[in-house]
Amino acid sequence: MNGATPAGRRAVSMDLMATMVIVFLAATSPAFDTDDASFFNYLNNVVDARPLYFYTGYVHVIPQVVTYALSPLPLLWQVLLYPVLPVVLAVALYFRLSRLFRRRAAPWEANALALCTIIVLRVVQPVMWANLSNSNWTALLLAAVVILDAGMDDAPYSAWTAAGVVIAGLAFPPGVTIAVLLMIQWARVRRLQPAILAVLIVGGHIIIGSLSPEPGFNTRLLEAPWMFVSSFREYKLIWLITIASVLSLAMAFRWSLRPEHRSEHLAIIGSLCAMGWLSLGLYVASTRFVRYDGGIPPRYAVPVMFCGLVAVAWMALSQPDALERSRRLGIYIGTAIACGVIFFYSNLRGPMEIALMKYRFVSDAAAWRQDCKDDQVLVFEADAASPVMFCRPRLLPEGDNIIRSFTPMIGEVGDGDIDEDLPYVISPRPLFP
Amino acid sequence: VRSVSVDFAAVMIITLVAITAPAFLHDDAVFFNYVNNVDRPHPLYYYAGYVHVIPQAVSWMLQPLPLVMQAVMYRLVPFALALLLYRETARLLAARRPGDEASMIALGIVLVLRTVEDNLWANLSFASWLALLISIAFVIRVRLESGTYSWFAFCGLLIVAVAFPPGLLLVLLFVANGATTASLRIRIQNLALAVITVAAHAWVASGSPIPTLNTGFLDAPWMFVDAFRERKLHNLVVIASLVTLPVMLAWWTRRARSLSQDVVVIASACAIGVGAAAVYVMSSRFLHYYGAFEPRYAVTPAFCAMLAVAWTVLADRAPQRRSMSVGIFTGIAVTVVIAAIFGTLRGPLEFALMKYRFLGVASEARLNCPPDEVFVFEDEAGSPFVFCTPRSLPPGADYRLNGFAPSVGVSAPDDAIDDRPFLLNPRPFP
Repeated sequence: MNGATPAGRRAVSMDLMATMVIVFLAATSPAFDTDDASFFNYLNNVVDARPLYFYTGYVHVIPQVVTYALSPLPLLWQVLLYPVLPVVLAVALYFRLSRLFRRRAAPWEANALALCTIIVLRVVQPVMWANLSNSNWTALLLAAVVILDAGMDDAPYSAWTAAGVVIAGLAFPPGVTIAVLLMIQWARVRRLQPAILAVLIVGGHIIIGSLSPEPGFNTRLLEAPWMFVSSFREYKLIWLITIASVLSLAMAFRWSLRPEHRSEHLAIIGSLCAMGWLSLGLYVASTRFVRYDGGIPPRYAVPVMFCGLVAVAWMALSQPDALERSRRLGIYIGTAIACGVIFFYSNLRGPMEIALMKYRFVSDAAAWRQDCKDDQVLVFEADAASPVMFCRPRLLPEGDNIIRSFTPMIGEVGDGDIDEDLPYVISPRPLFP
Repeated sequence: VRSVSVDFAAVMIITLVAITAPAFLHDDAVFFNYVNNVDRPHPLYYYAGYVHVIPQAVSWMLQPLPLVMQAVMYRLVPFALALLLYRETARLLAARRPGDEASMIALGIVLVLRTVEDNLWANLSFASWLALLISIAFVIRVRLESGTYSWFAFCGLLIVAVAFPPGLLLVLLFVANGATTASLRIRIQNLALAVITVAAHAWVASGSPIPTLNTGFLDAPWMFVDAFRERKLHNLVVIASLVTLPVMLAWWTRRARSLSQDVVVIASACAIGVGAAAVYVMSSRFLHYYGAFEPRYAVTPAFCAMLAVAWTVLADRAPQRRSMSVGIFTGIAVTVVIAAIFGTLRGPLEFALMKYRFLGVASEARLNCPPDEVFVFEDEAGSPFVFCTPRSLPPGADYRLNGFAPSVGVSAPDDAIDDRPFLLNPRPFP
């Protein structure tokens, strides 16, 4: 789009606004939370830390590599840079999604739909946007959109794009779902490149899975329906969103099978259905489903929900009646606006304030490390996902190391039970010993 | 052309909204207790400083029915009014742009109001508010059509206008309609409504046992600031409405060269919306709630602001932009109502069913009980209860149940003597 034309200027200004909105979404999201602290604790408390290692049953390629690359920096710089990658990935997701939608929409419409999709995802899964450890999910969605978009042009991938797709595909177990998109693309265009990328991703997962210290599959698969029923009340909202997404995809698939649509829309809608349904199926077939007693934490609903949203947006954009099309786009935008307002109204500053407290703790810990006793450890709070700081890095045996044998000093908000729920420092099995 | 499918969807959604709304709460129980426990109850009486014409008259008329039937009928009245509100709002908006778009926005307005005040949709004691909103939409539409009121409409408007203090706001519309028409009949109808309404309110207020005006009016801004956090959402709704309405009016006035239909609608909405907030701030209720806008007092400004926005959206001549705006409005409305209902989908209905069951049990127990016994649903001021036999009590006071032997019903903590429900035996009107 030419930025000199009025429409081009409108699209550029909307891009700028969308980038600011995404930065705002990230700033108000939980940061340096959950596994971010585990990766940080490992790299800064263990001697000879590895870049890639097994953690909770698999290798978290993106966060592990990034935290490793950042580890030579001062402590505070490390944690301040952790959210940069998730934000960059989210902005990239916005631009690629907008590019995909522009195939059927004016630039400003495509920008609006892309931004709205991200807002709804942010509401359902808040920890994806500033937590490095959850950036795998954003990378997965980004790779999926890149494949869908490239598939419509039948153009070959550049080396950078191919590398990015493989990294996103190998980054964590749900990454294997994009191999399906690549195989669909291969089946359509009969070009070798997507097939090679798919084989690389599937092969990589098989190798990593065979080395994993934990089983990857749900051995109680026949019990899955009962587990789902018994967990429904606890995870009601997320299950309902998941079911709605599955049904939306089914509706979109049926729509794409109409004779007048088949040639035009079946590829993209079919790909979205394959990815969405497969991601849910893989979750149910994984040990995670058993670990959560048949529940579904929000992150596992993200791929199917994303596919459902994109499919619904695509159907709205493809509506032949101009007025009906505008109305459907309006409903999509209005729903996203309402979701955003309701969500942010109730919890605007909380996550940012907690992140700032943690940053202050890390800064204090860096100063404390210069003058401390060998058996001391500084703890942010008595919580498993809390950042901790040994007086100096240690050589630890493989396995999780609870810090009970040290003299813990509680940092900012030590309100947990220090005897029961102390954080740990992982010293895991490396991927390449 | 209005689509039947939109209307059908609206009826279904409003039914769901009414079923999931809190029912037989607050003053519903007070009115119920009065007509079922006091000998020869009056149809109209002072309660909380004024006469609640609609709920008092309806509960009095329903009194001959079995107890459970009365309580069920209490929720059918606001449900019927909610459907009527949708219909009247859609008809008003259709005056600007006939078709589905007006109906969709009307439904959106009703749904947003559900999130502003959830008690409106199944509580008889809140029916006056719905009736007021219906009247606002109706009077504005009749003004646009330069029509006269039928006798039925005239009586209905009169009842709503005198039903409770905010009904006085309708005088603004009556006077405006009467003053700007060339038709003598329309002028007489509107001026008659205005005069009767003002006189009726003056008469009621003169006999009220509670002062109705806010005597600390100059402190109102500070009280509002102090109370802001307590009712943040509703205070924000009122502020947004009070900003939107004058901005819309200024925009339309500048755009229109004469007193067009658009300006009439926006000016009417602005007058009623701003007037509703002003009347509340000037009333003793504002002091009673320490300067916060209780949800019901935010309803009228919010309705008027949404009406003005909807009218402006429908006036857009670019069809695609208009359709998208309608879609955005509908998307927002549906999402906020889902968010509001989701957390408490079954709770209010289950609670209401418990109360209906209690009334069923109490009806049977009443056939064979000692005279000093009283069946109480729970030890709370707004709880329904049933005396063994209706009693003749001297007027002018609320009677705590301490002198009786309460048999507690379904879900009562047994130590809340201080918060025991009371039996109203108020000063009758006139």
